[in-house]
Amino acid sequence: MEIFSAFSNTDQEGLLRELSAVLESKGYVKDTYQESIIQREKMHPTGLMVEDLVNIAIPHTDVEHVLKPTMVVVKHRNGAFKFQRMDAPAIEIPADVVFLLVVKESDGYVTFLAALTNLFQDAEFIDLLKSSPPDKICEGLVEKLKQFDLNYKGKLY
Amino acid sequence: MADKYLIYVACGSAAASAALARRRLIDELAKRKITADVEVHRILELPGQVAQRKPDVVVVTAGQAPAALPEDIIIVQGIPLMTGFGIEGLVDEMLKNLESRES
Repeated sequence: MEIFSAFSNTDQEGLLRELSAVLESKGYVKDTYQESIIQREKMHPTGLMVEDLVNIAIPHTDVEHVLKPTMVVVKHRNGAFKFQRMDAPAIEIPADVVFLLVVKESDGYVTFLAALTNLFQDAEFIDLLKSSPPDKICEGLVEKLKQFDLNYKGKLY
Repeated sequence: MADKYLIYVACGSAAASAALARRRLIDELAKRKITADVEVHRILELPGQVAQRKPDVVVVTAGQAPAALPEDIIIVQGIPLMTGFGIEGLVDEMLKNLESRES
């Protein structure tokens, strides 16, 4: 699977809009993806506190809006994106890293997602998430998840 | 103990969060040699699904379970199945509740 990195300094909705627009222009998602992911995040937020180690968000939406699976690892240029918690939508958390999950087929992607989230047990990976730019995180994922043959394609934009 | 439990795992789109929670739950139950049918559903579809076929447990990874679910269904907050932290405790608690419901 091809993966990308991105830096942004907009807010949550702005981020989802810009990621969707670029992914659409590159042929990964349909034109319906943008509105779908924005609405999905409002209805079912995806902010996750991984214990007290790191905060992430994993925005994703229904598979019918996706043409080709990918993932984009995003960091805020000077701060953090605010996301509501998956388990407590009234509570907003600053996400250190956003993983945009572009899921086309649930089963295969879930195997990948399980391996990715298993890395939360790895202190070195948590350090990487917190202190490295998104391109370094992608390179780390390629290295640590060799079985998935990830292909880091560079900055999304 | 029931021969086979029926467990629903629910999230917003049933594409990622609940599917991941399902995978981890099945693995943890298998370790304990417990058989269960674990199905993924969207939160919005839960009341309809539950009305058709009533599960023993509903695991939700997103927000709250719908208020309309029958009281005797055990509701479990599934975030540990997403993060990987606290899975054993979650399953311990779930099984304890299932056993106490049957006794």
